[in-house]
Amino acid sequence: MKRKWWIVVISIILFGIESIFANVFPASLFFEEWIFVPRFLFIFLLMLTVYYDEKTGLATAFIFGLLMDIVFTQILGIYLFWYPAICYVVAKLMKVIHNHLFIMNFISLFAITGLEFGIYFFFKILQFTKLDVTTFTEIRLVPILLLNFVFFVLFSYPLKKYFTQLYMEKQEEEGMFQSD
Amino acid sequence: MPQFFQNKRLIILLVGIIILVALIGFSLREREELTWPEQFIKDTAGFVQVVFAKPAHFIEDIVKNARDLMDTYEENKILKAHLDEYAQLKVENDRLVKENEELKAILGVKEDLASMTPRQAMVIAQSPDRWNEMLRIDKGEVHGIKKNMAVVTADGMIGKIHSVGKITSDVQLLTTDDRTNRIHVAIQAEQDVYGLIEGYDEETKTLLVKQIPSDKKVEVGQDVITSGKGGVYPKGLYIGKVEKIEPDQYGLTQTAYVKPAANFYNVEHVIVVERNATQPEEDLDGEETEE
Repeated sequence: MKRKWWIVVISIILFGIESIFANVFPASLFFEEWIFVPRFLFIFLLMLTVYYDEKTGLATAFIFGLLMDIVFTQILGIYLFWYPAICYVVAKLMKVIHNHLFIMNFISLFAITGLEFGIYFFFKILQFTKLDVTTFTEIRLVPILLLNFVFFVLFSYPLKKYFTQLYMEKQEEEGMFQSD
Repeated sequence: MPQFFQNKRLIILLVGIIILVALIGFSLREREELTWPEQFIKDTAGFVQVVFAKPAHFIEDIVKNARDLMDTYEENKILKAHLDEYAQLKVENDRLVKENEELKAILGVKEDLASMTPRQAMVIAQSPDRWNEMLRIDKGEVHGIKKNMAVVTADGMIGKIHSVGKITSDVQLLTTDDRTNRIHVAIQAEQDVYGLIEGYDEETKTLLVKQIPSDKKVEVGQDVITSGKGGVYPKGLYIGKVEKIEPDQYGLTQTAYVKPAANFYNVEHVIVVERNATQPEEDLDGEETEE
């Protein structure tokens, strides 16, 4: 019944994994300059918004964006803005185009690209980084997309299944109230 | 015009942007301390992060041990060769320490720039996006951690305490490109040569030590340590080795490229070092680190 609460649990688990990821990931096995950034929580939020409920998705994105900002970036407003903003755009987009997991995969990668460029843009105008766009694409964007593509391939199917079930439950509940 | 204001979404968007800019402006201020909600959230997040850090470190250790086992033979050979040297060094070291203590007792010196109090801490998180290089450790105010303390690993210095919560704190790495991240260092030439760490070169992966007088001779391979004269860090924390020296733009000073000895990633345990020597006045202290 309270299957909904797993949303919170999974979000916290993904947040925990992301926070220790940079510390234990053996990045030295790959090219030395490459920077791998996990966006697992973001993928989860995207799927939540698209497959379950837009309002819940945006609210969760907002809360965890704020959490990321407070704990890591120390500048309030970066993830706080981009997490919900991109989730919103993707949710609207997926209503227009055919909703298939394969297409969702592409859209997620586009969304991550958007997120990376968005954060890069913020850091650039705040003059926290001197990185130029070409280097940014080479050392950040490519490895990030690779890493998160792997995550998506592994976990998107079970996640979609879970959200679809949740959605059905919600529809049923609403239907019940309507018939009363 | 009335239609413009009826558009609820547009108003929400505009208000949102104003709040966003205000928030960014608020957090960009030079802040001495975090606000209490921030501290509270950080400490709470720290609990979650400890839960994940422990098993992650455990697995990492297993992998590391397995890898170590593979080249035990080679390592053993090298270690044996060093062993004789080590015994001799140890005897000499003991003698010098004793002598130093006696001399200090004669002079009546209790604390010098090198004396320090170490505290052990575990790394519980690292900022995943790596835009601002930041480590989080599981010790905070209640454990006696204060802002600006130096943080070292077994290999060398890695950074300083940037902000302190009740039970967690943030470490700013040496590689962070920050105006306030200046460290007064000594290059161990025949006579100590002093300079300031001013930033990090991404391409060569070296720290830039600037403001070295051009008449001082610095050679490649010389060791760089903290000088203790900046008023914040204790003396003698190892930083790295000189890799390249270059004259400055106008030839008045030189710049040394220093390869840091410590690895900034895959760090599991760190030591937070408190300087025992008296620090200069608070406001003076702030100026000195910024210069």
